Amino acid sequence: MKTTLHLIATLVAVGLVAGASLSLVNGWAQPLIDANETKVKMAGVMEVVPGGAASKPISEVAPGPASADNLEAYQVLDGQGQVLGWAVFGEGTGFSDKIRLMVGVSPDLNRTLGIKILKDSETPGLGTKIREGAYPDQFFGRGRPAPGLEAGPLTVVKGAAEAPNEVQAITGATISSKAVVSIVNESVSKLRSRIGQGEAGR
Amino acid sequence: MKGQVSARQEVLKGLWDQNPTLRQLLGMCPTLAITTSAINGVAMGLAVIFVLICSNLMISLVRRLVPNQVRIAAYIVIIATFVTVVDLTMKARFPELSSSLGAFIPLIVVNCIILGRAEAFASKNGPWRSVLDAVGMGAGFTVSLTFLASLREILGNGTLFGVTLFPAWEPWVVMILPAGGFLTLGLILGGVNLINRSHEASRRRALVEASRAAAGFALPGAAAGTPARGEA
Amino acid sequence: MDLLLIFIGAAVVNNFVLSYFLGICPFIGVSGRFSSAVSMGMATTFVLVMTAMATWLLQAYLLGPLHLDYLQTVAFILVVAALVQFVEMVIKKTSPPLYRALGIFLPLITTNCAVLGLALFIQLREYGFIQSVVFGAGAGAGFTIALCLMAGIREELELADVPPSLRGAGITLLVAGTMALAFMGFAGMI
Repeated sequence: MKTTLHLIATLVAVGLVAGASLSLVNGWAQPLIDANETKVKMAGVMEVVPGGAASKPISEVAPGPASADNLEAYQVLDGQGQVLGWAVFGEGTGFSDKIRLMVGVSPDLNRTLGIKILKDSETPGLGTKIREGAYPDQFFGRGRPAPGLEAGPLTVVKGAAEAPNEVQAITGATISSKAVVSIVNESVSKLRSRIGQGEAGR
Repeated sequence: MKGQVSARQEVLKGLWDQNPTLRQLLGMCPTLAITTSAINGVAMGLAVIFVLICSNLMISLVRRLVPNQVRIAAYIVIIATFVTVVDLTMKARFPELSSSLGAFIPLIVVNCIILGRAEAFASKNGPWRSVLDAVGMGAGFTVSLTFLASLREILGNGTLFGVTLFPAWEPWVVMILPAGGFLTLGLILGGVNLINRSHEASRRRALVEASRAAAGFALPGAAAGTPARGEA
Repeated sequence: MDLLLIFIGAAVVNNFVLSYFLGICPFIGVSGRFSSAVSMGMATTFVLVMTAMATWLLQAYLLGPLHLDYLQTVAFILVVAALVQFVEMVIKKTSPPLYRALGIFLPLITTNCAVLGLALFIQLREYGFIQSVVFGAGAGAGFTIALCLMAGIREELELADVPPSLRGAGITLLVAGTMALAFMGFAGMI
């Protein structure tokens, strides 16, 4: 009986010390972690709408039934206060884990302006090509006009993209390419239904 | 404290003779999974060194207080605590590294090197020796990881620590895919064995010659070139 | 359909051993003989499914509501250790033949990274309860497949003329690399 008590007491003591010290470390780390995430996100907002100088969260521009659609978007303005476009945050499942990204769209929601992958754990060397290079460049309209959104949701094609709403897949990483596009589609359609065809979009 | 093994040997054994990765084949999961770029290898190595030193020290300090029946559970909690500290610190200070290492930082908990050293060494030795052991083992792990990662990054991506080495060369992507990890490590292990075997052979030959030359008077230890002992 | 994808994804496409490198230690250590590979695979699958359930419940009803996410790693590994111990006790009491078959493998499972890895992946991917269980079963199936294939190959290799330096772990890793290449072919399935 005495030994059992001793065993339990030891484990409880170890557990308590561990829990207490971790809660101290967490108290220091959590605010920094949150700040990092916000920093990465806000840098993404400016990156996906080229030329952006300031941004407002959508709740100030087009207040809606918050949290109903979990929409996280920012209206991006240039130095003179002109609306350049929207930056929408989206996340979804990729090949092996969550992909979080920021996508920029024009004020009329008709084409993409850019894309930034904030976090992914895709296969190094294949899926990670969604981060930089030819694949994201398509969304910036480098090389050929940026994908148009007015003709319906974007689709992924193997080989060269022809129709305006087509995006060319990465060779060997079709799943990652499709995941990104479906996150973009979902984010844009959420934004579209919130601001309704451009009434508050000006 | 006055063991037969000097402090320097305590550290050095982890680098080659008992190298955790190349000789003992411990901690294979992170070794293969995160060695897609050299910087990942270094970061994982440093994280493991930190956890190993802290947990070895802590466990050797409390080893007399913890009853035998619950020692493994207690060790695991201690290890998991330090791993969480590393995880949170990396997320707070180095978010990019932390996201590229992903779930493999928390998985240090089940890295057999750490529990293995806790059980085989720290639970039987004093704090000072346990720290030395941790430094050696951690360094051996880090060096092997960085070597494997550099090799894979150079062949698979044409870069080293992110610096492009051969601009005109199409890298072999397969080297940073899972398959490349297995193949590279397999060949490295083969190489290490080859070095060891020729080492053994030449040592044996030297021994025979030395004893022949000294007509049977030479001490085997001297011929084998026992490293000089020193206190750190 | 979704569940089937999760199962196949964990079992072959993203095989735990061959593409996430989880559970490599037993993969190299226990894959020498086919019969022990089967037993190890079954024991691990069992623990994986139990772990998926236990850690999901723990996160959803204790850690999540209390905002103790930072205790996740500590709590999960304790659950895994306790679970393995519990499974061992139950099997010993209820089915001695099964215990004789699996007994020596059970303690090894605590430090199998596949188990803790599964618990962490479930949280990262925000799976629901049923999805988690299916994911656990898929991961176990994948682990068993990889282990048995490797054991079969290694039994054949005993007769092969392997260069002395590569004998043991070296050739095992090279074979695993070839298997990983073959498994990449499944990527087109999902």
